[in-house]
This record gives sequence, C-alpha cells and structure tokens, in this order.
Amino acid sequence: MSQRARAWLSRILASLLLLVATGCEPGPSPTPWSLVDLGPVSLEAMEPQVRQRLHDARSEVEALRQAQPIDSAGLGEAYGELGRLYQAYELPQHAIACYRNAHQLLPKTFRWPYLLGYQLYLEGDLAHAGEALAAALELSPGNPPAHLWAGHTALGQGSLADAAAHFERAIASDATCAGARFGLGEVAQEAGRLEDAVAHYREILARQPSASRVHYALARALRSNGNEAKAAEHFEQAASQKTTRGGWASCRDPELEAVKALADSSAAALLRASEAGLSGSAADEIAELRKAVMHNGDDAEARHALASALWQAGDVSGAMSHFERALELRPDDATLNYDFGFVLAKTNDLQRAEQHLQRALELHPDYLEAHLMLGTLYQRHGHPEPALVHYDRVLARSPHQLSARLQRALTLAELDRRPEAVAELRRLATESPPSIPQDKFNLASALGMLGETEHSAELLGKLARAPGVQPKLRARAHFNLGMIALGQQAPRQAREHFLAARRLDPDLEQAARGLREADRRSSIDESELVADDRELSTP
Amino acid sequence: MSVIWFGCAGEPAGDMTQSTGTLTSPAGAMTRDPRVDSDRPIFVEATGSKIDFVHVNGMSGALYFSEHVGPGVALFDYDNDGDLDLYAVQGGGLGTPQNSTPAAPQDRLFRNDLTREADGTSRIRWVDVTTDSGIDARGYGMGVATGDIDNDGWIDLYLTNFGRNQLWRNRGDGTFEDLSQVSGTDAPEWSVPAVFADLDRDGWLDLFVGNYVDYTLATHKRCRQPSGAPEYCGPLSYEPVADRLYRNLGNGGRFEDLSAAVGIRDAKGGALGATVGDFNGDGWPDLYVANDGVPNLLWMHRGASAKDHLAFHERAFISGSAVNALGQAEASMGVSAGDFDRDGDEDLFMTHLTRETHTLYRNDGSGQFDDASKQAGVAMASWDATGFGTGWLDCDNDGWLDLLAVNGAVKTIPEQVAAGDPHPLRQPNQLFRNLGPDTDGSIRLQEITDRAGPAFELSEVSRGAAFGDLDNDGDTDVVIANNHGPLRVLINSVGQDASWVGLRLVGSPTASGPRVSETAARDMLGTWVGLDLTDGTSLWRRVSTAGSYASASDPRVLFGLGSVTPSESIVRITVHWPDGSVETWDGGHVALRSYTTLQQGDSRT
Repeated sequence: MSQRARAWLSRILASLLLLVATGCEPGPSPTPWSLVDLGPVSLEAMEPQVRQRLHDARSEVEALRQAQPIDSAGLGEAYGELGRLYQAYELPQHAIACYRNAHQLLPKTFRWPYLLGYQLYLEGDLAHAGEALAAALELSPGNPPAHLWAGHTALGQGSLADAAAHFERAIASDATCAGARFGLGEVAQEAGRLEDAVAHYREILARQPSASRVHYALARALRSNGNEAKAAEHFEQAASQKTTRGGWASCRDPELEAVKALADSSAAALLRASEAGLSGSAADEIAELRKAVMHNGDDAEARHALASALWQAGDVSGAMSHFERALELRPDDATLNYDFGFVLAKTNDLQRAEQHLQRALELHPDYLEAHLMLGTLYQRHGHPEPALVHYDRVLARSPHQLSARLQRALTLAELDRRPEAVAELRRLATESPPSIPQDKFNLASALGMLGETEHSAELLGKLARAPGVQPKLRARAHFNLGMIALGQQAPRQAREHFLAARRLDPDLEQAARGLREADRRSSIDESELVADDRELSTP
Repeated sequence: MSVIWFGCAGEPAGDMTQSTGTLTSPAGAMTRDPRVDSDRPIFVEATGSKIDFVHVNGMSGALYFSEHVGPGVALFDYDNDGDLDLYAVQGGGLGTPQNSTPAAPQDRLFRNDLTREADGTSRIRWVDVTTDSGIDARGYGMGVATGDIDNDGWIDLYLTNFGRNQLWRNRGDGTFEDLSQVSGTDAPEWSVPAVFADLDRDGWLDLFVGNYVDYTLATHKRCRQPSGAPEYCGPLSYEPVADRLYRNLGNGGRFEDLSAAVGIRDAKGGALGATVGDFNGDGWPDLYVANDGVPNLLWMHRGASAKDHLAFHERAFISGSAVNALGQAEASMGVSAGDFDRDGDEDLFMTHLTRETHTLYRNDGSGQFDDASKQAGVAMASWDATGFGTGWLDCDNDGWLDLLAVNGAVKTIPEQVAAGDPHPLRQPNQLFRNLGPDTDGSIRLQEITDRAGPAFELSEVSRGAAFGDLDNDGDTDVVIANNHGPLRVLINSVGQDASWVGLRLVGSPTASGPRVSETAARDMLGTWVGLDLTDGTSLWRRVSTAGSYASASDPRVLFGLGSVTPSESIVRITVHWPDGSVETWDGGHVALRSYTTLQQGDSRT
C-alpha cells in the first residue's frame, strides 16, 4: 500500500472512530478537524471592557462550534480573532490554541500560521514554530517578518544555513529589516566568519547608530577577531547607553502591530506609557497616559501616572487636576497623597501640601520621603522644631540618609545648636563621604552655610575641576567658591569663579550678579573686563 | 548684595568505603555514566527526620513586591561537630504587625545530629535549636550569608531583610549574640544577597551586601497586566539602590562602610545575586553582582596598588559579562561561579526570567567572558523558566561540574490563575549534567531533570538553594527554599558511588589573623585549590559560601574523581590562600573517599 493510500485509510478510520465516539448524542457533527480545547481563562480580575470583549469573542466561537452545519470559514475567523485578543492580553497558551484551530479551519490564510509560529517561537517551542512559519511562507513567500522569525527559529535550532537563507530572503524583500541583518551577523559569528559578522553589525549601525545592542554584538565579534581596541570602543558605547531599550528597529510587521493595537485597555496603555518612559520618550509616555485616562476616567493609577508625568513636563495645572481627581478616587493612597503634597510644596501651596503629607504619614507612619518633605517644608518656612522631629524620624529608620543629615544639621544651626551641626557635617564628610556629585555639592554647600568655608572650598574645588561632572553643577560649585572668596575679601579670585560659572552655565543669573559684586569690590583694569565680557559673549 | 547658596575540624561521619567502580577516568571525553543513566533518581528527599519549616510570604492579595522575592537558606556547621546545620530564612506578615508578635513565624536554626547506621549509611536528624541559639530574627527575611567574622573558628550569620539587616555572632557555645547595631552593618535598605570575603587580604572577612530597589509598603504601586488584572510589579517600577561594602575592622565584629570610598556606590543596579571569585587570575578577589533587569556589575579588584588594598573598578561591559550575547540586559537573579570547563578559571552562570534564558559566561582566564549559553545547551532548555537559586555541583562526581537551577515565576501564570491556584507562580526545577568536552572542544550541559528525582516533578515557587554534603558521604546535597512553601532537603544518591576527595581549608593561628581559636579553625573563604592528576589534568575549586540566590553553602570543597581508585592518581594539591601565598601538598597527603583538613602553613611538600 502506498503512503498516500495509507494516509487516506487512516483518515477514514479516524472519521469512523469519531462517528462511533459521538454516537447518537446531540452536538456538532464530526468534522475533519481536531480542534484544540481552549481551556478556562480567569476573567474576573480584568477590566470590565476587556472581560466583556473576551467573553463575547469566546461566546462567538462557542456558538459557531455548536452551529449546524459548521461554518468553517466563520469559525476559523472567530478562533483567529479570539487568538489575537488573547495574544494582545498576554494569554499566550490560549492564543496558540486559537491559532492552531484557525489554521486548521482556514488553511489558506497566511495570518494564522504566521501568528501561531511567532507565538510558538516566543514560547520556545521551536520545532512547531518552524512548521507553522513554513506553512505561512508557503502562503506568502518572501514575507519579511515570517522569514525573520523563521530565521530566528532555525538559529535557535542550530540550523545556520536555513537561518541565513531566511534572513537573506527577509532582507531581499525589506532592505531595512535590521532584525534580519542582525540575524545574519549572529549566523556569521556562530559559524566563525567574524569579518562577515562585523560587516553585518556595522551596516545596521550605519542606519541606527544608537542601537546599543548592536554595538555590543559588534564588540563581541571584534574581540573574537582579535581587534581588542576597536572592541573596547564598542563595549564602551554599549555601556555608555546603559539601557538596552530603544534605539532598535527590526522589520515592519503589520500583523504584530495590529495585534498590539488590540490591547486598548487602560492598563495596556499604562504599560505602553511605562515602556515609553523607560525609553526616555516623555511625549509618548504622556500620550499613552492620556489614552489610559480616556479609556477609563476612573482609573486612579492612570490619573496618578499622568499627573506625575505632566508635572515632570512642566504642566503644573494639568498635573494638579489629575492629582485631584485621582485623590477623589483613592483618598487613602499614601503614595498619591505624598506625590500631591510634594507638588503642592513645590508650588508653595504650603497648607495643602502639609495636609497631604500628613495624610500620607497617617496611612504609613514610616513613610520616610514624607517625613523628609515635611521636614524641608517646616524648615523652609521657619519652623525648625517640627522640622527636626521629622528629620529624626527619617534618621531613626535610615541613619545614613544624606539629605536628612544635611538638613538636620542646618536645622540645628537655626536652633542655635551650631557646634552640633558642624560636628554632624564633619562626621558626614569624613565617615561616609557622598560619592554622587550632587550629594557632594550639597554637603559642601551646607558646610559653607555653617561657616566651614575652608572645608567647603576644598570639596567645591574638587567638584568644580572634575571633568565628568555635569557643567551646570560645576557652575554652581564655582559660584559657591566665588561666594566664599567674596566673604574672604578676595574679589579677584571671586571674579574668576563667577566667570567660570557663567562659562559653564550661561543661564546662571546669580553668577552675573556675583560678577558685578566682585567687580564693584575690586579695582580691575577696564581692558581686562572688556576682554572677559567679549569671551562671555562668545557662544 | 544678596546672593543665596545653592543650596571541618572533627572527623566527619563519612562513608569511607572504597570504590569498586570500573569507569573510565574523568578526564577526556565522557562516556555515558550508568549511575546517572540508571533509573535511580539522582536526588531523593531526606527520609526519617523531616525539617518542620514552611515559608510564609504574608500574601494578602495586595501583591506587595517583596512577598515573592525570598527566601534563602544556609548550610553551615554552627556547632563545629563536623556536619552541616541548616538556617532557614522566614518571611512573615506584610502590612500587618504580625512580625512583632511572639507567635509570628520566624527564621529557624536546625542542628544536624548526623549518625552512622550499622549498615554504614548516614542518618540525618534535625533538631530545632532556634530558641536555644538566642537568634531572634523577626525581620521579613530575604537571605543569609555565613562567615567567621572574628576569626574565633565559629561561623557567624548575616541576615538580609526587607528592612534592617542583622549580624549574629556565634559565641561558640550554641548561642548567638546580636551584633547588628554595633557592627555597623544594619543598613535599612532592602537587601537580598550578601557575601563574606577577605577582600583586602588582611585576614578578616569583609562583607558585600547587594541592595535591590527603593521599595517600601508606603511606596507600593499597583501594577496590572494589559487586561487590567492585578500583577506583581517588576524592578523597573522602582529606583535601584546602590550596594554596600563593609570592611572588617578586626575588632570584635565591627565594620566600616566603605561603599563610597571603594567605588561600590558609583553604580546602582537592583542586585539579587552576588558572588566572589578571582576572575582575572591576579590573586585579588573580584565581585560579580547579578542585577534584575539592568546590566550586571563586575567589580574588579584594583590589586596591591589600591588604597588599603581595597578599591574596585567596574568592568562588566568591557569584560563581556554585563548583558547577554544579544546585548540585552536580563533579569539576573541567582549566580554561581565555577570552573565548568576545567580550564583553571571561574566561569559564571546566572538565572533569568522566562523567555530570557539562563546565561553561561565562559571565562578565558583573563577576566574576559563570552556568552556560551547557546553552545552549552542551557539557553533553550531554560526558555520557560524563571530561575533563582543556582549552583555548580558535581552531582555524579565524575569531575565535571553539573548545574542545578531552581525556578519559580514572578508574574502570575494564567493557567494556574484559571485553575484557582492561590500562588500561581509555580515552575519545576532543573538539573543539567556536564557531558565534558565534545570532539570540537565544546562542552554541553544536558538537561537531566527527568532523572533528577521525584522532587523535580513538583512545581513550586523555588527561590534559594544551598549546596553541601549534608550526610558527609562525599557528594553534594541540596536544600531548596520555596516561597510560601516547604523547605526541600534533597540527598544525592549517586555521587557517593564514585571516587572523591573532600578538603577543608583552614587558617593557621599565625597566618590568617591575630585571633584564631585553638580549638576551632577558620574556613579560609576565597582559597583556590587545585588537584593535579596523573593524567595531566587538574580540577579547581574555590572555598566559598557565596553565590546561588540569597543563600550560603558548605565551605568545604569536593573533587569528584569518577572511577579513580588508587590515591596515587592525585599528584599534587595546590592551594592559593586568600593572602596570596601558595602552598602545595603531595597527593599522598589526602585519602580518597574522605575529607582532609589542610591548614595554612602546614604543607609537607
């Protein structure tokens, strides 16, 4: 018996068995498909709209399954659409089951084997992913994303030649497909063709210079090829970008983009906003947060996140309104009360700031940030005693908290306990010196304010000379050095520092005022002043 | 003008019977090993005395970030009777005053009363000695580190917490005293890993503490899945916190926080794993820190030129060990250093999130690493695992380090949620066997979870894993700490069939610090010890309690020797002590299938 005849016979036998199994019971008639059971999904905790959407889509599938005769095309579409929803809402196993059924029912449709293959690849089932993607490519030969994922699947299985062939096909159809180019680099590297790998990675970087992942891959290839110096350069570039997010574009993939767009819940928008924020795109973050709020105006998290993002972007009134609405929705949220209190304090709405910070502390008595903020608030507005209480609460829980130690020292000075204050700052400087430039600056400034000018000048001088420190901070260090020099009746020295401050940060208006004061106190040759002014006006 | 300011000494009860095996030498290409390939499970749960300990994570539905992060576990010989005792880290209530009540769950210390039965087998009996020990650890526990901080020969405990950390000094009489405050190590940050190591080579153990993120119950965020269902937040929802390094002042358990001075505070990561090794072979200890979701850190010691011999520079990116081969930062959790390829240096293995795969960084001996996960076969095998505790262990004592990874998700698993599981983070643990070099020199680690034993058929939320020879029979046993679940004590049932040599490396009163007890010797953590065999190969192990995840392991080292039977097979033992000195012993100094204690300065070559 031929293989084909055996296959036919087995199908007939399977159909007969199915007939026997279903017997005379009511229900769907036997089908040539072996549809996969989807299994239960827990819907309770989902957003109501998502729950309804998933429920409706699943109900449609169930209804079509029960219909007689079965509308295979309709059922296939229904399974596929349900799978896309499951994929969008991160229920991968359910999505896979749906796609399997959709692919059986609609064997001529590219979308279902493609999405099935992609999802199986993500779940690490490479053998089945390869089969599904091969089926997709039979239906849509040359499809770049399908070749891309087929290439990655083959690479994962160690089939370098197959992988390379798929990546090449993807690039042939979409020359900008950086993911496929990266795959070719991986293949070349695994095959020991390091120069080819280097060439592929360089080609991507020519288009996307900030892709830190590619810098890293290039560095590895260069190092393996003996080019240590160049490798080090690219390792440094990868390291300097720190985050490996963003800066990377692969193939354009309409199918996956459409699935992603299906997740239109408030929570999904929040997640996209978070991704955008981590990638450094504040505008995208705010846009997604607005979508989240539009989707569900009663979502306190979305309101809170949008308020914070708007505050960061400088939209104070926008931030305020969302904070207020979020607090109406969730008045007992400690973080929300703290954040709003913080913003109110910064906008000098002191009474309300105090009220919300105190509320945060009622909800969480050990909320250190709230204690610190309240301490700062009281200190700034002439209430050193309660400020000290809050700083002490912070330090009781976190003895090394730098801001609390600095502010406490300054508060002690205000309470005429200057020797204690100075001793605390000296202890801080010697026992646990800060390592972050801003902290160093704060310590130096606090020392200066308490009259420890020599010590302050020493710390500020180091900071002002440090090339790695941000220019604005170095400018402030120079400015404070200028102030110390003025206090020591050294206007020429002060002038040098104010000039340096202005060079480093032209927007530092206090430096201009300091410069005028230094000039007033000194008898400086007019021509020198003119030369300096000319230098300052040079961009 | 108005301008404002801007402002083992005793004889172990080991199985000393001689091997009758007829297998080939561990060197060279491996053949299939009947011990592992038989139907016999490699690990069995300890019979007889059970550990009565169940971790409580305090979950209340609020999905507090800290509730699924712990716990770790420690194996250490606290009473110096020659067998490993066990310290179990507890969680407790979160957002409730539960932890301050007498009935609150707390950490437990279990003494191992190991006895040898008439048939030659060892029998473990666990005795809960927590109350007698005086240890009153009621913080919300994360992890544990072990080391003798005062060189008195008694191993002390450092506990990392979601809250203030604690240091408990072993008095040597079965009790511990709380040195948390006086030691200066009771930092309030949320810490997970901690490592004791003599970083400045002055004879006193210093302490590295890995801090996670700036999270408190007050700053708790409510994270959700795209569907809106509640979900645990990830590390990027919070700011990372810089780690700490404490120098041991050598005066009764007092430490100095040198984090800023030595450069450690220059980088913030979100540390979940940490280990120590000498990755570039310069004789100075380096630190590797596994961070969650951001690039890892490799603090290379600056060597003798460093001020007070204590300064580091961060070299993870340049060394190729910060991110994976694709340049992606991963959610690193556990980490283990070991010479898996027997080339005389320490390689690194770390566990990651589902879909990230675990990662093996192979060291070229100079501190340059390359991601060899795929070539070694651990990448796809770990695709759907979220790993935590991990360790290199030679489970079949064939001379090649195998690998164990314990798993448990951090994001809820939909199928388990739908099934009504109240703790839907369960995943099975995994065991990988080192197959030795292939014909092309590559080394593969083959997953053998299906032969690992019944405990590997379970699906739990595993976190910590500690490794050590609990029954002193010459193979490595494992203790797995589950989140919101029972502790699992897994006894190795195959390793003892092969030949082995066990070593304990201890300090001498004159060479390793001013005050070493005459009755109890101090384990020389950091010692790098090698066995040269007659076939020209070598085996290297480091004396260390560090690594894995939030856990502390046996400081003794085990060398599996496969079928080697005559003790003449060992030519030489070379010991690189933590102070930089090197000693060698003749191979004849050690006996097969037994533990030998080597004391610094006592070589008889």
